[in-house]
Amino acid sequence: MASIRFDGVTKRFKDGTVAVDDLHLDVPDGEFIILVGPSGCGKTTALRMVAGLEDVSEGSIVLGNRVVNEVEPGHRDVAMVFQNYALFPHMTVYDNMAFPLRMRGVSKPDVASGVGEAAKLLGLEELLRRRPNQLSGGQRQRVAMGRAIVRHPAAFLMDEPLSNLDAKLRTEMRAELARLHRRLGVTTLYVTHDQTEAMTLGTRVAVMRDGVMQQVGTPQELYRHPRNSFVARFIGSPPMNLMRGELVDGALEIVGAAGAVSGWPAENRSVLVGIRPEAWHAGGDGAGESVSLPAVVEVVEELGAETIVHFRHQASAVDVADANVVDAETFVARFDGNATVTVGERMELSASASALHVFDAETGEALETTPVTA
Amino acid sequence: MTTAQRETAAASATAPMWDERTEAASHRRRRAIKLLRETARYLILAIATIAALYPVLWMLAVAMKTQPEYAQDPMGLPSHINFDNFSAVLSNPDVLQYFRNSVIVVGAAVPIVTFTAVLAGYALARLWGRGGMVILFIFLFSELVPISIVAIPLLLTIKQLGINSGILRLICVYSVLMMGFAVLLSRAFFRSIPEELREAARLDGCSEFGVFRRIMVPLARSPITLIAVISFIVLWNELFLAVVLLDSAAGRTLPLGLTEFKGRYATNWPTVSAALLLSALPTLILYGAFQGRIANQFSRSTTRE
Amino acid sequence: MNRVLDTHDGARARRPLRRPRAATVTKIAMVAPAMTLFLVFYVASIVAGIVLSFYHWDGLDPIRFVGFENYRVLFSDPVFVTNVKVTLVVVGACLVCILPLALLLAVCLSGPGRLLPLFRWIVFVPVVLPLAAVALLWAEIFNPVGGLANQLVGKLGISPVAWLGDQRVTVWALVLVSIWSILGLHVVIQLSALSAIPTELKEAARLETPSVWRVFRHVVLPLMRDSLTVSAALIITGTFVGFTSLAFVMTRGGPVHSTEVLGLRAYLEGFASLNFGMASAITVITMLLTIVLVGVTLFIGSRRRIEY
Repeated sequence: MASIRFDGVTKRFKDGTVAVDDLHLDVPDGEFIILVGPSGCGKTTALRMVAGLEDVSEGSIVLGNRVVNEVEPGHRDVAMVFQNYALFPHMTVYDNMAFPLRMRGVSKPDVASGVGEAAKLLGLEELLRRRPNQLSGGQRQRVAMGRAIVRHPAAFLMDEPLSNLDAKLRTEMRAELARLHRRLGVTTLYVTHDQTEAMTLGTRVAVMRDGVMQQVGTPQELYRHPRNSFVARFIGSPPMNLMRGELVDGALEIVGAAGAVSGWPAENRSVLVGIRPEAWHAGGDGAGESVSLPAVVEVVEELGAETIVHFRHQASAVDVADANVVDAETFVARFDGNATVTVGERMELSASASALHVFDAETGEALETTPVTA
Repeated sequence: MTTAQRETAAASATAPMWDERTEAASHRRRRAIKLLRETARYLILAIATIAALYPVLWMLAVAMKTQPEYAQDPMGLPSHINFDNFSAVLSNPDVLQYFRNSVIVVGAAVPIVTFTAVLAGYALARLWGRGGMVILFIFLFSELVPISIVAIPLLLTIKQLGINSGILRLICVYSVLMMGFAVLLSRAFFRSIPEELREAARLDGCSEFGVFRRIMVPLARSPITLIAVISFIVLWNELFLAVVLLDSAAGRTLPLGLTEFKGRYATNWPTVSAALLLSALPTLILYGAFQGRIANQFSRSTTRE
Repeated sequence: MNRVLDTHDGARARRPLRRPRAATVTKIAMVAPAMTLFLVFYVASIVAGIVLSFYHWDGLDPIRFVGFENYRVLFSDPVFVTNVKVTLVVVGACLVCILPLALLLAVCLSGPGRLLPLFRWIVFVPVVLPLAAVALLWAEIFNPVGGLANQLVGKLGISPVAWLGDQRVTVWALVLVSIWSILGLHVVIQLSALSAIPTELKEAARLETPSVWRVFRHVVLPLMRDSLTVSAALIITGTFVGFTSLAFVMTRGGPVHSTEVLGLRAYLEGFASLNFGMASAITVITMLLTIVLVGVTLFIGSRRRIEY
């Protein structure tokens, strides 16, 4: 078991694109950390550099206490689960899982017991004689995992292993992965583009964008205190509403909304104001400082436990070309499942000052978090 | 996993097996091996290149010499670029006749093969069921036992049928020669087109043949080209069947004619050389033009369908 | 699309809707041209060959039935035994030389690299040359007087070899020419199979062992089995025909029958001796031999491995 550390790691491809830009990340031994971000953000490249499948342009990758930049993938003692599982089609499940052990010259009986253990752990005993093309997606995924755990590596690297599974299977496998991690306690670096997976699986989550790490922290930290507007919108589903606002001498105003909020640094600048869907409530109740705006209901999604409502700013419902309101004039709110909302209904949406996230309009950086404790 | 096993695993992982120095040394060694491998690779390729091209380039060099020059120095480069041999060949009436025959034969056989094979290929891909397996088997069999193997009985059959024109004989037989390959290729292609296209068209009231004509054929430009090009190359170069099936000088195609040519110009290798190069020119040009496609074709037929 | 038929017999209650006539006509019409050509020229020839092999016919005497006479004569003919031996030796030699070489070159040619497409093009050039040109070219190279081969050999200090005249050497000279002319084709076949292997598989293997050779042996090679089988089958059928052409042009089967393969023998029987019955018998034997050899190849190539 080992820790993983990225020390100023940069990856530059031959055509000049910078896939990973000066990445610093410390993964202590035993942690399950998730790299998440949109396609092309460099998360997979970072993972592959740890595996040794990509060269490092600058900086170093440290496994445990050694720098492994030049070390062959086969000597790094890491195991990887690929997105498409990469199971050897000409070998049985047993042979696939035995491969790592055999390549290391493990004796036959030890191979058998090693594979047997892993198979039992993953429920694969019945499938050992089958070939990959006779297995379902979920079974293949488990074989890929089996092959990874069979030699007790120092770290697991997982490249979007669940993305090829259907929704229900994905939920099951998520739980399975969590269970495995608890049982084996191996350091795991997990890459995904699905923020739900990131939030549910990881001890910590690192959000990446265009090769640059945006923020790393526990899921709660990222949700409650996003450091920039990108992270704010990326984490959380439905995504946070972002609206244009102005900070005038420490008073925050949202374009198109009523109510100014005080307590912000005495500055003047354009800002983006973020409000999570669950922070909206109907009616302009004035318990403490709040902002409110008039809205018209456009789409209602009744999910049973909750109801997601898409609104359009009332003003723009009339004047569609109103460029003052951000986000194509729609915002999303999350109401309790018992709420009855009809399309076309007009209501006053309000949110309390403590629920506002403020970001600089140009840089996207979060301004000092809300003055009242969150 | 027992605690004991876990402990040993953990111990062996954290124990410093590598210290900085031995690790650096092994990296150097590994990089040296990589370099060696790359050099070996290019060395092998260089040898292959010389082996493949040298005879051809030699022919080119020779074709530009005169006979006495060649007799004196067979291996060296020509003293100056001399196209006399080429023009001699091109103006030789026999050669032109051979060329004309080849053009007629191949020019007829290629469209015939392409046309009939695409038709049959689509039918076998989508319209035939169990019965199609039998037909397919026959075409597969023809790949195992090419018609060239049964050349003698073929000749006898043709004579019985009363086909006396050498050119006509070759056109028919050449079509059959490439048919198996073309049908299999065509079928494989049409099977890769989703059934939905056909079903949608049928729902719109299109007839089966209409589906073929309006939808499938326009989509099949790639395999059609492939069949045509490969057939051309193979048939243009074909020798054995021409030898067997032609018993008069009238129908001689280029490859066959060249062997005659050699007989007559036995002592003038430079001229013969020029003739050979010219005869290879059409296929070389065609190959150069379609090189990428040909490589792709094999990628589809060897991976499990 | 089922119709429930109103029958008393409940078991036959459903019958699938018949395909409209037009579809049946269409599908037959579409395969008709190809099949007609095939039946008339290919199938008929095979049948004719088989039938004729039981007859004696030399164009002069009336044709008469002789049963297995032709075959009996062949099997007791020492030259025929040589024919079969030469054929098998040639096919075997080509298989043994071409498959590993093609694989080696394919490996060298695979991967990114700006010069590689050029090399791939070069390797395939001999394949597109007319066989006649190839035959004549090499005939000249092997020319005992002033030919390229003896020039080279002379520079190495060895005395000139009668490449096409010495019965111990000629066969191998022709085998060399055969290999030279089709190696490129098989390189391309192996190369595309090689490129079809997903990179992920090789990467997964690399994570388990640093040895390139082991990755090749355990992951790449097993996945090449199909393409190697195809190549082997093509070499077998191709050599039967191609070598015959080469021998025809370059040596006419000589010297002393050392390059007389079955196909050439059939030609000689048919055209030189005008013994059509015999020629047909040889053809039948050739056909059977091809089928057996290719069948065995395909069988070996498709057998599943039970143990690793």
